[in-house]
Amino acid sequence: MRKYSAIIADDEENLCSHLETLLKRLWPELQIIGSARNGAEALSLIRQEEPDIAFLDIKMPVMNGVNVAMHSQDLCHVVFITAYDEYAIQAFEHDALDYILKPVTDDRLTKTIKKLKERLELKELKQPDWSYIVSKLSSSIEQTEPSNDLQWIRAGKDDKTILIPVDDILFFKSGDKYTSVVTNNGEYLIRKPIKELSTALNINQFLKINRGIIINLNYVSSTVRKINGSCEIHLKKSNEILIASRKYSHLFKQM
Amino acid sequence: MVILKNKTIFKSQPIWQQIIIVLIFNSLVAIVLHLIKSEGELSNQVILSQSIGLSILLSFHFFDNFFEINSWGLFIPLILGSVLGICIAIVIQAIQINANISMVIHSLKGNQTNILSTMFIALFFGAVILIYFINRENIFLTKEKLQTEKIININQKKIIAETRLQMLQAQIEPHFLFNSLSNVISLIEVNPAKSRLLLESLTDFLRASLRRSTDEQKNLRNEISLISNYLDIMKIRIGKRLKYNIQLQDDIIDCVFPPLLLQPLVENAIIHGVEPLAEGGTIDISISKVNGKLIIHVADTGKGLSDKNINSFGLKNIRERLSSIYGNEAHLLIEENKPRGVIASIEVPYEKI
Repeated sequence: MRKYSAIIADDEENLCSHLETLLKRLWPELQIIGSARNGAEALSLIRQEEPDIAFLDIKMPVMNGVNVAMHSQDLCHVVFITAYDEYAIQAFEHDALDYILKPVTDDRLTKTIKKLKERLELKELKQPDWSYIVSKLSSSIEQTEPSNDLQWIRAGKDDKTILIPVDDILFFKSGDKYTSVVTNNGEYLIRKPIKELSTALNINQFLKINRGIIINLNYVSSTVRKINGSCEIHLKKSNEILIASRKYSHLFKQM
Repeated sequence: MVILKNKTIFKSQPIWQQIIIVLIFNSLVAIVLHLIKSEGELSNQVILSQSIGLSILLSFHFFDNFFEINSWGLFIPLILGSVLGICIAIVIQAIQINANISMVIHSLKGNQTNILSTMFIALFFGAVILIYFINRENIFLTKEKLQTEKIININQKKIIAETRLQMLQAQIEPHFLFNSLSNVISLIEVNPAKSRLLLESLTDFLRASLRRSTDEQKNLRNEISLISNYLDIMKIRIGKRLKYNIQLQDDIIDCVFPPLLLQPLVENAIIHGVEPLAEGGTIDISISKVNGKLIIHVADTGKGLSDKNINSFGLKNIRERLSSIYGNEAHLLIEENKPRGVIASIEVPYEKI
């Protein structure tokens, strides 16, 4: 019988060597031909050594395990290792992919080995539907917050870059080259144009009142409608009076 | 919805209802006037009252749309509306009898007292109806205000419940727990001493986390020992990729400090800073007291900020917690570290235990 080979990738060294120890005990014929500390290392190792199996941690520096698996299509069988039983991953058990949970137990690893052996005998690499898997997993990998609205603005001040919470911003005003961000305690310049900001900010909190200005509705103290159809907006904590053009002033009528 | 205008009149009633009320009211005024004076034709009286009443309504809406007006200012459209109404009535009468306007005015000259009395009565009834509308509006606004307060109240309760849930989840993150346990198991045979050290740190960390939920341990000493345990665990787990040091003036450690402010910053430095880099990084924590303020810096040399990951730092929670506990007395500042990484600083009033 042919001897199979494998690589292990996990950013935590202890876990890598532990899995290696377990594999040596439970599957002595398997050759561990290398281990990697991050996703990029894992991918180049797979391409270089062409192992039969890759054990990949999902959360790794540089490139995550799912991306490594995607880029090494039809080169090897993939077994994901994960610390936490994310709901989506169970779906792959019956597909071409397998997964094991950390801490890895003898029991679970024995089952996985059995399954791997069967697949290797068949000598076929069934390719999973990657787009489906990535879309399913990306939410748990990317760790995005439920709200996708912009919460912080990166802005330069002196030679530093600081983060300004959007709740502190009174309004944005477009300039020649930069957009100025006016807050409770000062004005900052950013490169992001008004157009881009208006789509990224929370629409319930921020309102574009003319082509160059977005205001934070939480700071509006009063509005005065003008005969010509435009609308004057007075702000708390600022003496500046902003003008909503006719095109946008109807938005205040609804409020 | 937010009421942006200080006072919006006639908001509570749809326009067609207002028109109907005014029409009925005008007709009543016309009949009463006709009965009192018992001269002229009823139809003329109806035309006069209707034009005055409707003009007043029209001028109210006109003023309401274009000017910021208070209750007393409403008498301006009232007067203007009645003058306009009389003019319209004159025009209508002129058309009716096929005469030109100057003739009608001329014929009315002898009848000045009639015009003046009608105008006076119109103004009087106009004022009555105006006061009625203002009252209605005030009741409506008060009701709306109560409703808004109710909603704010419910939202606050919701935020409190959500915060509690987040606190519980933040205490023991499953990835952290299972990865740490995996490390304990993996070290048992090869390095029992290290394995034991890790398990001890993990035990202390879990004990402190759970105890913290009782809210009795709001002091800096506990927070420091918690993050030391956390960093010890991470150090064993990710090895030489992580370096850290904590600088602390000994005499300030016994002060009040709420939980879940410092730990998330240190976790951010690890999860979003050091861990994503193959070469790792250093975390420097310094705690000092300056001018009656406790100032904590958490600086890392990790991956740094990007538009993509800013929102996932959980900084919003920290800000909300700071402002709910300290109001404007506390600050959270996030800036970029040079040449790479993030410096997060918290400033709170210093309060000795």
